[in-house]
Amino acid sequence: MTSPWEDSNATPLIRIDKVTKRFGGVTALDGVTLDIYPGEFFALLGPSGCGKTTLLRLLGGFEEATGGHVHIDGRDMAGVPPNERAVNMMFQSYALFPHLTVAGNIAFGLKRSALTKSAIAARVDEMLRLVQLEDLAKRKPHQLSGGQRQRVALARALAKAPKLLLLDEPLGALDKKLRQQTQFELMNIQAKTNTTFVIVTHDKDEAMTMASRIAVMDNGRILQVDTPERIYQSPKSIAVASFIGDTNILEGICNWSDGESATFDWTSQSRDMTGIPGNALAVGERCRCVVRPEQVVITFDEPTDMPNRVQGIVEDIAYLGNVSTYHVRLNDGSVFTSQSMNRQPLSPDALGVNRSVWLSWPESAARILRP
Amino acid sequence: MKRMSPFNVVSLTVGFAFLYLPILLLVIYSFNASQLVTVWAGFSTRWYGELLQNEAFLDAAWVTLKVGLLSSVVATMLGTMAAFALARGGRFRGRTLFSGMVYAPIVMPEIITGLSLLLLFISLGVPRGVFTVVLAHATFSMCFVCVVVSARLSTFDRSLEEAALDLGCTPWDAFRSVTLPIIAPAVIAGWLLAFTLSLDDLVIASFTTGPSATTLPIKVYSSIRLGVSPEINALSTLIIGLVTVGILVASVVNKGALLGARNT
Ligand SMILES: Nc1ncnc2c1ncn2[C@@H]1O[C@H](COP(=O)(O)OP(=O)(O)OP(=O)(O)O)[C@@H](O)[C@H]1O
Ligand SMILES: [Mg+2]
Repeated sequence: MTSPWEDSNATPLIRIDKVTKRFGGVTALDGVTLDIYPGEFFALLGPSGCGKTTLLRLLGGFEEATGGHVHIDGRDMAGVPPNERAVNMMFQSYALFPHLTVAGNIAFGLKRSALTKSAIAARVDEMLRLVQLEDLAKRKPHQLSGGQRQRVALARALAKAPKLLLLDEPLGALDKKLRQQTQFELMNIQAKTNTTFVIVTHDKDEAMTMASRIAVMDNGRILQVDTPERIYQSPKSIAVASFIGDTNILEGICNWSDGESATFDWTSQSRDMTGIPGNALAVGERCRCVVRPEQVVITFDEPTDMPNRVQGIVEDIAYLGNVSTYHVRLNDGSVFTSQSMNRQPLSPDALGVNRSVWLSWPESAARILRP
Repeated sequence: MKRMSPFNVVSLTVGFAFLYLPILLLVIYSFNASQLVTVWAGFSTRWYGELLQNEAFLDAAWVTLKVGLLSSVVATMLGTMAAFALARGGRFRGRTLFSGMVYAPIVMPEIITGLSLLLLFISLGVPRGVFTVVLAHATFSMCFVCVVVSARLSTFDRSLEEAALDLGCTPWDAFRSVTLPIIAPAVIAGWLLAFTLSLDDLVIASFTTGPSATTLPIKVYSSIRLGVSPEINALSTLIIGLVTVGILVASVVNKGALLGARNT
């Protein structure tokens, strides 16, 4: 099955077209163009202040765009107030109504639809079951734990069966363990209800775990929109690569490229290295190459069969339980990072500090990008 | 609980005695059988009975109640609206001036408020009576309502209203079914405050009233000049009872408001 974003016949549910949003002198969104398809679990990822919340509020109808158009389900949303959009939002602060019970909160939106009393009661029960809060229906929000409140907020937002659910850092207030558990619950609920989710987060692991596609944002612009694997493995820019995880960056000058693969002269080592070009590169152009630490293999002997290799001295080792991170100092003084799984207990004569080692990585692990 | 030191017990007793002994005396003497206010002649509820026969006092009580109810309702609506304008209007032109002006009557001497209202009513040719006293009381007590409601609104989470809009409410429906129930304790406390202020106001009422509308404080004040009658003691005891109940209810309600604020 082809994914909708690769299918040129698929119609997007949300079409954001060159949208700009200014608050006085601050440009919160700067020409954002984005299509989101039905059934997607779409994540907006980026550092604080990059405009994620603003984009979400624009979809919810709480802000008007300064320029550009937002279409939801084929309809131009300019001037359409939040109460007339088939969109619901789960607020970062949950925004549960303190004067209503859990059931009252969930029923709130349903009471403003054409449903009968018994249909509303049935729907509330269904929602309570979905988020496993059947026993707490009569409680007030202040009698709930953080995780329970979060589930009430989700149930309330899903009760009207919106086409689109917007979630602003829904897991921000939860501790790490509960977060991971809730991530899977959210994915489950999304699959069960077949609702399109747009979620805001600044936690890259969260985005990678849950999303079908991720938009990486910075400074009001979208840097790249792709699946989690492609965002991680083939970033289109240094900014995306370094935002999405630890990475080694090599600077050099491109000296050959056929579009599929390329070589460059690694300036600090004066060595030719190979890799896969992420952007179109011209020979003679300055470039940077990113290599993920877990792709870098450490050996004592020179791996002569590997095209990309460099020698260095182990400076320190961070033992993290399942993996170890090695910081290796190269002869030019820079530090290279390598990470590997600890499959068997480390033996005393294993890699130690101050040992001379070789680092190597396959061509497929190296992405050559414009600086 | 920790036991209080003797010093604290003494200072508490003296303090409370200083505050409440005069009132206690007044309450006791309201049950005095004697015609003379200062001579104790045994327990009796005679003066309460006579009070209920006294047409002039009953009329004044009725006027006061009418003025209190009307003015406190008007003040509550105006004060709440002013609080919303201040909290939600953003930085509109003249906001600072407006907020300063809303609070001004609180610090303004009552004499001046009363006098200026009197001048206004005279120059507009408004006949003075219940209507003008209601206007005057609404004017000065709406500031107090505004202060109480503003305090609540400043801690109100706007995303609650956005959530209501998001779930299909029109802005008015969101106000009615979310904002108002949450700030209701503050609005009720403001209303009780306005009502109590109107009940015991003498200065502003005497400036703005006419011969047709004598409020209870004016009546009491004028009859005291002819000598203190035990009837006044009985009346004062009733008023003390009423005000005490009002203050108790207001503080209980306001406590609820504060708890509500903490829970949102
Ligand atoms: N109502 C507003 N008035 C003025 N500036 C605003 C307003 N809302 C947002 N901004 C500005 O717009 C920019 C983007 O804000 P936004 O809230 O969208 O960031 P964000 O990506 O959600 O950040 P975070 O991860 O911290 O929540 C910021 O510089 C912010 O200061
Ligand atoms: Mg945000």
